[in-house]
Amino acid sequence: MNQRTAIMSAALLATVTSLADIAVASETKATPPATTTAATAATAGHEITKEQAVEMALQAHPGKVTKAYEDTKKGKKTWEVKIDGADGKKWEVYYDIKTGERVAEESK
Amino acid sequence: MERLKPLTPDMNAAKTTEIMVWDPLVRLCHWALVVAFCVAYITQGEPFETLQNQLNGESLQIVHTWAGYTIVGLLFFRLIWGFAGPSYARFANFVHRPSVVLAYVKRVLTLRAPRHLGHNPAGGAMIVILLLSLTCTVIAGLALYGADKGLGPLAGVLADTSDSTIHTIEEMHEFFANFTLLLVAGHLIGVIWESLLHRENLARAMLTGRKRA
Repeated sequence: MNQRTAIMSAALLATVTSLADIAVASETKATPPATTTAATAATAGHEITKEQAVEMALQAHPGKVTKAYEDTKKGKKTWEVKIDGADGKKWEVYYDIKTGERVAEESK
Repeated sequence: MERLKPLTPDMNAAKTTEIMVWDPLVRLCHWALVVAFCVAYITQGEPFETLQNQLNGESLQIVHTWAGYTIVGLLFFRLIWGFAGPSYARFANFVHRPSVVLAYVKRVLTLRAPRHLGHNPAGGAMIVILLLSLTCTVIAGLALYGADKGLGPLAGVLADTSDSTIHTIEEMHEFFANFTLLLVAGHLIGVIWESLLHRENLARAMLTGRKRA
């Protein structure tokens, strides 16, 4: 490996590492501070489980749940529930883990 | 029927003389891009939805995101290497005017295309389009990550993006990912065609870096 190749290898490694640092820093910044309502809801026991999120999603859009997992939506930690709806559409419903509030829903 | 004569030592030497064409970083960049793009496509691409439904969604998202960051790093590297790398890696070596590319494509189709040690004009054009398409894919991906999830380097800038704009960005991300896949198919057809035309294994050359002199 000549000197130019060694320098470029180091530069590539530095680029990816820098990008990772920016991403991690931004992700930390992007998470909004917990609002008083959210904090109160969490301590008051309004934090919801995945099973509760699935139940709520099925009430909104009956069908077959294909997947439910933790995901981030607009800076909020949510439960994402994917449903093959009885209406023939594919639904993705997002519930705020801390408050149980529906953050978003999308159909395809 | 004329009997085949054994190769003389000189002919053997001519057949086996190879030179280094693709430097180690070009090869590493090429195959790392292949792996990163495949990983990114499999973890979020629609054709793999059934497989994705059987795996942990959160982990898939993390892997997809890091595959995307890897592609960004590799594109940056390839851009720099296109100006600072060895001669066969430089854009000046393989980027030609559209008229030259079209003329070469015509000669390829009539099986009269001359052999190039580095990228031929059609291959060079394909590489530029592939790199541009990948760039559009990752820019749209980063924008989607910031606007939809509120994560990544663009999260602060795109925090208040409307749902309709997010939908448009998502469509663009999917379009460019699928367009890149189409280009990859075209690239593979070109590699096979040229390999047969000039009786050399171009895929092997991208592994070893060596081509017949």
